[in-house]
This record gives sequence, C-alpha cells and structure tokens, in this order.
Amino acid sequence: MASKPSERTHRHRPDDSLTLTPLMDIITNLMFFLLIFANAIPVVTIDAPLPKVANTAEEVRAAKDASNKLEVQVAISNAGFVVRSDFAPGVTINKEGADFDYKALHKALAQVHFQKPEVNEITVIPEDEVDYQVIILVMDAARLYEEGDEGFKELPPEIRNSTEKFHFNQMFPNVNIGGV
Amino acid sequence: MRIGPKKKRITAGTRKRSRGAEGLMMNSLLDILVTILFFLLKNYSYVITNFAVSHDLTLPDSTAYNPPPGSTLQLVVSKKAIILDDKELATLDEYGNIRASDLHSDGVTVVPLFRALEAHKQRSKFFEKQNEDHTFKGTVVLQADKSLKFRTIKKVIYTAGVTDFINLRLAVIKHDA
Repeated sequence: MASKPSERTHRHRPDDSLTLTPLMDIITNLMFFLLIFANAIPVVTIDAPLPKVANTAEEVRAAKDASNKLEVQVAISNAGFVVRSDFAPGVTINKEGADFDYKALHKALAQVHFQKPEVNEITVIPEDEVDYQVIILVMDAARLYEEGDEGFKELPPEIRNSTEKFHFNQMFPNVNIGGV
Repeated sequence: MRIGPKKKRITAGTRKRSRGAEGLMMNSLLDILVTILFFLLKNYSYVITNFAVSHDLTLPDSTAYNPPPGSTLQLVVSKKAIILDDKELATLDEYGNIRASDLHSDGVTVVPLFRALEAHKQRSKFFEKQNEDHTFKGTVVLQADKSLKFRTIKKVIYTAGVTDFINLRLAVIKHDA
C-alpha cells in the first residue's frame, strides 16, 4: 500500500518572482491604443494669404503703402530658380542634374535677407509645369536661417525646447504665391 | 569503451527541479513591448487630431511648424478631383488638369468651386448678421497632392481668391529638417 507523501517533500514554496502579467496587460493595451491613434499624419500648415482687392479708401491707402515695400521674389521653372530683389543683384540657380538645388537657393536667400533683415516677405512665382512639392520646398528654404548662415544666431538654451525657437532665426516666414 | 557525452541519469529529484522553468519566459517579450511603447509615446507628441486628411492624396513634405486650424473649410485637390468639405465638385483628367467644361471663359475660374465657395461665403455672412461673435475671415485650408502641377493649383487658388477666401493655409506633412 502506498504511503502518503510527507509534508517535507511536497511543500509549496511561495512564488517570489515578479508578477508580470498585469504589467503586460497594461503595456499591450496602451500599445494598441497608441498604434491606432499614432498612425494619424502629423499635419502642419503654411500661411499663404492671397492679395485682397482694395475696395475702401483705407484699403487703397494700405495697398499704396504696401507697394513701397521692398520685395524679394523667387521665380521657379523646371530649369531652376531665379532670385530677384529690389536691393540685391539677381541670382540664377540652375538644377543640379535632375534635382533642384535647394541649398544654393537657401544660401542666396540668406545673403539677401542679411542685407535687409527687416524684409520678411517673399513672393514665389512658379511656372505652370512646376510641381506643388517644389513650391513647398522653396518656401522651406526661405523660412529660417540655418547654422553656417551669416545671420544665424545661436539659440538661447531657455527656448531650445519651446515653440519660441521657431521665431528666432526667421528669414522670410511670410509667403505670397505669385503668378495666380 | 564509450565515446561521447555521458548520459545524465534522470532521477526523481532532477525531474522535479526542472519543472520550475516550464512557464513562458516573458521577459524578452516585455522588453520588446516596452521599447515599442516608448517609440510610440515619443511619436505620439507629434500627432495632431481634429484634422482629416483625404486618403487619395499625398500631401507635400515640409519643415513648417504652424498647427492646422481647428474647424475650417477644407479644400482638397487630389489627382482625381476637387473636393470642398467632403463634397466632390469637379473631376480632373488623367493628366491632373481641370476639365475645360468646369472652367469659366476666363480660363482660370473653376465654376463649380466658385459656386460652392460663394454659397459658403453667403452662409457665413448670414451667420455674421445673426451672431456678432461669428465673423467671416475667409480662411480655407488647401490640401493638394504634391505631384500636381502649378497650372492646376493656381486655378483653385485664383477661384478661392475671387470668392474672398484669401486666408489660404497650405496643409503639408511635417518632417524634421
């Protein structure tokens, strides 16, 4: 007849390992939640106000004042860019092979802005066959000074992580679309 | 003489001891999940809700930083159609051009879009009279496909301009420089 096993040989040791199951549940739930909502596209916008037709006397006066403003233009064609301004000689930037040379455009615009830092508006004049993406990349090239540009200022550490940093090294943040 | 590894004798004791490792090893899985979680949490800060992007268009990439406005008129120009607030107004041909039948005799005004924007403007101005807090600002967010040519975009922009929707905001996908 079999005897009952002794208590000493069949004792249950308490489980001293970490219980990971609830943690796993939380992480899995959080992950699915984030996966569902994180696939949304990070969309931002570029302000490109259109010129308003002056109807009132005040608007006509404002338009006349605006016509005295210094202007910077970038003409875009499938051959490249031409930068023109009222206060600097024109610069022609041809394509590098099949690609537009956005770095050269940025350098040219940085030099123009450095001469008249009070000018913050640019007009892009694309030709009909230019892709929309190219127009947007021209606006990007004109927006901010980059490291190595003459007008570039080092960001103060206190604004390095705030949205204020976007307003620090501005070149031509205001864009008009010409040729419309 | 026996060559090769010596067989270990399985006793009742060793059988009992190995039973402890039978459970699923979750530590590595947990490491992976935590890594993915941190990655998602980092990217989550960029996500902007309350802005619907049409599925059949690819927005251009940009280093711009202005967040999109909350509830504004959405004007979509995909490779196939012009859509205003989810309503298709005109279709584009296979080359992404606006069809001549949708254009005014001036060659630039898109007639169905002009009518729809005018209706929006009139409605907005009506509300303006009823409610002093409501003002017509003429703001419109343009979502246009990045591969479209300027000849198509400019007609849409021109039509928005002549209907007093002059505060144009171009929707783009943010990418870091």
